[in-house]
Amino acid sequence: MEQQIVNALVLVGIYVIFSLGLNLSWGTLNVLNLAHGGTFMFAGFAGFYVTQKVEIPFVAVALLGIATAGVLTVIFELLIFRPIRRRSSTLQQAELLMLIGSIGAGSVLIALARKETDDAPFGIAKGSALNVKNLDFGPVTITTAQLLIIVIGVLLPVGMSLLVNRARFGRALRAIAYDPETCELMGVRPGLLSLVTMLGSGALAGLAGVLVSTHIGALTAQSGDTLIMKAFAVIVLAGVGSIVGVVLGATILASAETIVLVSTDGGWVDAISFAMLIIVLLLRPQGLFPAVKADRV
Amino acid sequence: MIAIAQRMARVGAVGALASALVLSACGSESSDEAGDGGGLPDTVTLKASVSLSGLAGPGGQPTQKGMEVAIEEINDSKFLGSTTLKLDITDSKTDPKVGASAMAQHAASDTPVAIGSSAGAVALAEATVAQRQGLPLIFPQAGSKGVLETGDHIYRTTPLQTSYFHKTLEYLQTEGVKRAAVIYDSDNPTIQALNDLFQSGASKYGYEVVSTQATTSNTVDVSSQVTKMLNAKPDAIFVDVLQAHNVQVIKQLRQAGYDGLIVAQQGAAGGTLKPIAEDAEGVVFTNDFNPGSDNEGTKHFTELYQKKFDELPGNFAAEGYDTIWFAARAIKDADSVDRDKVLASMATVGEAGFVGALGELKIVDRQAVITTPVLVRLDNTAAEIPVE
Repeated sequence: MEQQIVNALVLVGIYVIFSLGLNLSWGTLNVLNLAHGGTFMFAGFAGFYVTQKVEIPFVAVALLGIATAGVLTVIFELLIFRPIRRRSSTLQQAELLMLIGSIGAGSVLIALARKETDDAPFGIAKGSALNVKNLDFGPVTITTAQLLIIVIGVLLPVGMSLLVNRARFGRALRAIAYDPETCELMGVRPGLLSLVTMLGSGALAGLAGVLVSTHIGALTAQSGDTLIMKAFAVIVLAGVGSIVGVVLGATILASAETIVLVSTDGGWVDAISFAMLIIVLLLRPQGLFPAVKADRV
Repeated sequence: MIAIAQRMARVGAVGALASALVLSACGSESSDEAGDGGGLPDTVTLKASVSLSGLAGPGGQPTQKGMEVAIEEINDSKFLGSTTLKLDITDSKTDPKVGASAMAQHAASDTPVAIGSSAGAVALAEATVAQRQGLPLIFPQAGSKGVLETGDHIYRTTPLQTSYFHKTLEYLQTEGVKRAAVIYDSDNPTIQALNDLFQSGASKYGYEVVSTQATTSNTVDVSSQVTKMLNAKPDAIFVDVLQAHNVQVIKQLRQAGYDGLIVAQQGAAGGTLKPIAEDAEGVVFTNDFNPGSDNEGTKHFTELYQKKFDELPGNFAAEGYDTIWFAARAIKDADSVDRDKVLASMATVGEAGFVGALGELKIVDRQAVITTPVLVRLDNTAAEIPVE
């Protein structure tokens, strides 16, 4: 049972790190970026591609993956999402078109990875990979990769929460989510902020990609597809825009999945996870822990 | 009167000549001149729907390579006389909808016989379309129940894994395995069938199934399933998952501290486990092909493949090769690109059997049968070494 708790914590960590990135772009800029899964995968692919050719330390691989994913997301913002926002007449139209655009962007990344890998699994080359060790704590065994995921999964939302709630940058971010026009009048630069936001969102996808690739040994070009659906479920459970909600949503989802896996032969995991999602959507469509927004009356 | 009769005779002669020309044009198999094979046109194009991407992509890519080797050999050796055989592949993306759509297009083309995808779910969709359209269809792999049962136009040139999986279970018995666990992808019919055999073989081969864990082929983290299996303290674990998924499952088994015996199935073949070669060392499974085998057909194919691609072939390439050769043999036997004639010849050629990359291959009731499956063990480079 203790080992299963550790497994669940690792799953929570994976969902938190991945979902926070998607939540950032969705909650702040109304961009439901379904290329987030492709970006996650491409970070792992970048690590694979470079380490096939040259041996570099794992830290460099991680930074490479994070930077690759961040830059890609900025490119999507400049070439796809921003032009769509400018040309759309309503917010709803913009959101739909950005969603479609993100699917296309993600498909391009998947196609590139497929072509280069012949659709075979790919991982960081041995010489550059993190030297994963097993640590035994009584009845529990945890690898260094799993420990890293859990620790980052705890520290990241704390750090982001402090940034968003206490730092000037965070206040500006919350402001543009609410009213970008007024922000501009107040001297905030929404264009620059949106770039920084997308950079951060992509970087989180990249961090998740490198960590998961290290944890499970290899990714495939389709590895992001399942995670994007789980992240979507986490955010809908949580309520869009809420960092605390993402942590709690990830905990609920990961715990439910682990309980189902422990209690049954595992075939019902996805069915029960998404049944929970449907129930929440029916009973509390704003999510269990929505971000609080105020309206001036 | 005589002038009118003469005019009518001239018109009649011209008309008869014109009719003869029209009829001869309609009677020929294509607009090209017939080749030396008698009823064959100058070019015959085989249409194929192969999963080059998606979860079955790692198998589809080498299948294509094997097919290309066969096409080249057939043309170079003038097996079909002066007729050139061409191959036109559509990527079915391991997606039944894409496969079915591709097969509909192939059925509307002039291909005498088509090649289908290897993944069971895609194959089922393609077989339904082909049977309905009267298109003979040959599958490499696609071992799911229901594929051949779709109808008499459907053939499979790969022996079913279930027909030789017993060698793996015999190995468990030889190794003295008493407690065995299994993790399997519940969303794949072929894999389910192998799991069923594993479960039902317990008493015959002397082991107890102490843990059975289901997952799905797109599940990234299987830590919980791994923990449950290891808690049951098995002597051996059967990893019964779809190709690329083997990497993640075996990696997580080793990371969890399991260093016991792992047996797998053909999904682990073809270099799939190269990214985790050291962790995969010692994994055992039965395959229908091994380049180190000493049967003549295997040696011949291996030589041609190495010459073209500068690497050793795996089972998927061998199966692709045999599939094309079976199609070519049927077309030659029929001496026609008429689908009904080719279909009849497929039965004849299959029954007679031939020597292919998989060794001696016969097709009984539209299903390939071989007598030489190979039990292999992976070394630390993920190369498949026959187990003595």
